[in-house]
Amino acid sequence: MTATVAIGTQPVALERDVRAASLVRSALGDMPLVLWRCDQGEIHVWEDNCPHRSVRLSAGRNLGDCLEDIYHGWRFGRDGALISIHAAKGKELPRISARVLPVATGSGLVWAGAGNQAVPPTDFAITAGEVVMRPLPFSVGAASVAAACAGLEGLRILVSPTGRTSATAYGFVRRRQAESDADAARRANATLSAARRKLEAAA
Amino acid sequence: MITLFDYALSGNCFKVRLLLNWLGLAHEVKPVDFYPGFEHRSDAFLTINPLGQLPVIEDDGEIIRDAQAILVHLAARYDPRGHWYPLDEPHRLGPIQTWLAFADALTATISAARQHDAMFFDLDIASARAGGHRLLRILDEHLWFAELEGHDWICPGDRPTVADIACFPYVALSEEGGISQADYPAVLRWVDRFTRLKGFQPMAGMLPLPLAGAAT
Repeated sequence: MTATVAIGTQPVALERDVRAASLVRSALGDMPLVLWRCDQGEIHVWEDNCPHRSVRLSAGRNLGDCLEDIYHGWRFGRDGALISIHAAKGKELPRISARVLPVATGSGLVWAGAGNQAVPPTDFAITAGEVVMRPLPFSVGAASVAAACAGLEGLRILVSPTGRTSATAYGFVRRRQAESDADAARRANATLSAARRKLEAAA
Repeated sequence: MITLFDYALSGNCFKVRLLLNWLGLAHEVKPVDFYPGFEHRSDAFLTINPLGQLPVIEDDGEIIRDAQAILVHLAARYDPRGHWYPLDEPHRLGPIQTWLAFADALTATISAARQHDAMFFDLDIASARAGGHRLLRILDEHLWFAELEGHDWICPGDRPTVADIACFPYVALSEEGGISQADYPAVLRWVDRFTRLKGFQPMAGMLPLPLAGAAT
């Protein structure tokens, strides 16, 4: 049906795929992201880069109330600020912080933006009879993905750029009569995968 | 007594060590200097395995080669509960075997890319990485829909099987071959679950630190 490129605020994961005690990797254009759900149930989206030595934070651990970097064990609290360094008891901590991005949730998706606020587009919300699809990564740019997916029957697609020549397609599929949610998701995944094969072979 | 011809940095040897330890089997380890010694190409080793591949085990005087064959041998012979290779449930063996073959394909691609990057092997790196990504896409799709149906492991069932052990090492080590895991969230969740199995010990090069006692 429709496929467009997300601008400003874009989907970065499925809400249900961001789980307690684990870390999720994603990207906002060229910026790698780490997503984590804290013990209060909120989802946090940060640049996937430790402000200390640039190791990716997603290699570390989600400890519930903070994220721990794997390299030196530095810990960053929910607001991104450094809260602990091993063996630094009593000394003042350097004032450094992970880059925290604005987050929104809606339609089963986690949304993030590079501006001050994450505002999901009002015309891309799930409606009755639609099922959230499995996100599909492409190794071609977002504009080509949107062009190739625009005509797919029953699918509404929003394409998130994850680099100059890569993108991930998020979307909803309209369930057919007597079709289960899982079967609709499988059908949509097969349709989108076929479109991806064709597009990537041409590129 | 079981003897394992082993190389510490080999993912295929690691999977055998994992199962030996999970089954609590006493064994002797004979290190083979794969890199930089290339001892697997020596006359002495080629007598043990003419294919020049690790791992190999000797069990009761019998030589068994091929990592996947060794997993099946150990599980079938020494796991009377049949958790790892459910001999009493024939309908599950075909799917398990399918993924054991998939593990071989992971060796041909991701392990090759890692040998190129970490051990300076001369091979077509672009093709090895492309092949690795193709397999990770297939595994991610499989695991995403398995989760949707309430399954945590590669083959349906309450527990992991030799299929999970066989596929785990080179998936977990893929970034050592320059194959990013960022696009495969369902694969990463499965890696997380696997590293949290009781008694799991990572090998060198595996970054994730298991979270003791964390909910999966």
